[in-house]
Amino acid sequence: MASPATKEPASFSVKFSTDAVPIVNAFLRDWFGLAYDFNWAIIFEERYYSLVLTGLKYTALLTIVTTAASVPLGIIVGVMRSSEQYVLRRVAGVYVEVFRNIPGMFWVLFFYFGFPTLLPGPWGRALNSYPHFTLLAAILGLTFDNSSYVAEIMRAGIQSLVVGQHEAARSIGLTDWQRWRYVILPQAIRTVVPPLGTRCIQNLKSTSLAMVIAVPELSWATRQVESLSFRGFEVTTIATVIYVSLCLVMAAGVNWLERRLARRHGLSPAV
Amino acid sequence: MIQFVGVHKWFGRFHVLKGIDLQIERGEVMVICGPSGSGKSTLIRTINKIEPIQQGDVIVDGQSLSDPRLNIFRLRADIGMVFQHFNLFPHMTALQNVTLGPLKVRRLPPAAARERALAALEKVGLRSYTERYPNQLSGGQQQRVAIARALAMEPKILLFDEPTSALDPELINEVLDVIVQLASEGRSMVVVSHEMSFARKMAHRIAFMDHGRVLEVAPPLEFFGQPRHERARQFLSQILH
Repeated sequence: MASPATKEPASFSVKFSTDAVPIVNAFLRDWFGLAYDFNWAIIFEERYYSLVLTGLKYTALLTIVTTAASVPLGIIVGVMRSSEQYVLRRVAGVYVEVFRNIPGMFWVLFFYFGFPTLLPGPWGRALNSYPHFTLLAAILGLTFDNSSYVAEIMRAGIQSLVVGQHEAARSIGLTDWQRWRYVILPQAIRTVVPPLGTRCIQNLKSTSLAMVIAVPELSWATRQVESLSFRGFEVTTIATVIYVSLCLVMAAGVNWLERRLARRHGLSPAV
Repeated sequence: MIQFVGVHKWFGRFHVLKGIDLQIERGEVMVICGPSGSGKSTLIRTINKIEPIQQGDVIVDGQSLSDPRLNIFRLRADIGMVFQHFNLFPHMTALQNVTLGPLKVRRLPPAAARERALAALEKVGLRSYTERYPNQLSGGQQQRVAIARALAMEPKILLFDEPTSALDPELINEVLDVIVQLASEGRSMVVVSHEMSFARKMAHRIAFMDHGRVLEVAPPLEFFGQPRHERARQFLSQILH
């Protein structure tokens, strides 16, 4: 009794897709003059959509982990770059230039191929045999790459504060640490939320670089489906829609955070 | 209380302070005046070492600012400062602005810090504005919160760096009234100001500066009555039309 009813949706979806194919194809052919026979049905084949879903999972994982790691790291480097201490400033400056001026893809490749060979023999071998090493290499490369941009955004935010804020904080006797902790950072972070949000969205898209070392994220999955099915247009369209949706979700999150911070600080939200 | 001994300061190649020797007694209210660019603000900012000096020494409450063992943070806690542009912390309410010092620097328990902050806000007449953020206050109110922030530390010395220069004319008096009241309480105060009527009313002595030098130090009656220095005469005639 229950089993035929539960099967209904599955057959419906297959039916829907095959029915829709000629219509969509006719639309694209007649309206855009596209000389390509679309076959959207492949999206509903398990061996393909499972690749795409795994890709989505890895893209989400890479985005969350690298953002969570690179934003705090970048904030620390950005503060060091704005520090009154010459040595801290220089170290942070070198960090930013090294990671900002070399393509993120190179860093991903470096952590995958170069880094283990630079380590002493047993360490390198241990790393190479670590089952999630590929993922780890991608995370490291993307995190360092993104953190250098976050650091520069943070430095801009810190420099946007008038010197009077530092002077007022020092005049009541706050120590250097307290001045940064209670006066400078809360203001600087609030200032950089919008550009930082944009940077995080860029970081989401940059996770596609992980495909060069065959992390099965969304871009890699897209290529994979194409080479298996020869249906590149279809799967790329799907991947595009997924990327856009993820970015929009992230943008909505940033927007919410901006408004919440503005409200908490008695400011009207930016229009 | 405060002693400047041969203080020199350069901004790059610009010689701002050219050998300042000046002494401010305990409980004295000293007003520093002079044309803009004369080094008044720079001088007052050397007292809590927000501006470092290159030569000479400043001795505050018996402590030399050039002493490497000096705990500058402790000293600054005893020197309140009020700025031309208020410099309130915009991400904190009026009460939080005033509470921060007692809480983090004096390390008072939260309830005591709050009480002290409320008393300071009461004193500047803003007891009912505690939950406002700086951008919800007028310039005069912001400056009074800034005064409360300095007062809540119970400082031995109060410094005012042109406290009314950034205010609309109709808001100046509410700030001056508070400062005059504080002056009558026996605290050492150094005030950089262009408000001459106010200087006449509350200053014990007036120091006149020009081009990085203190040209004249005299009680107000004497300074306004018969300024000895030619530059001071010119300055007064321009400012007291």
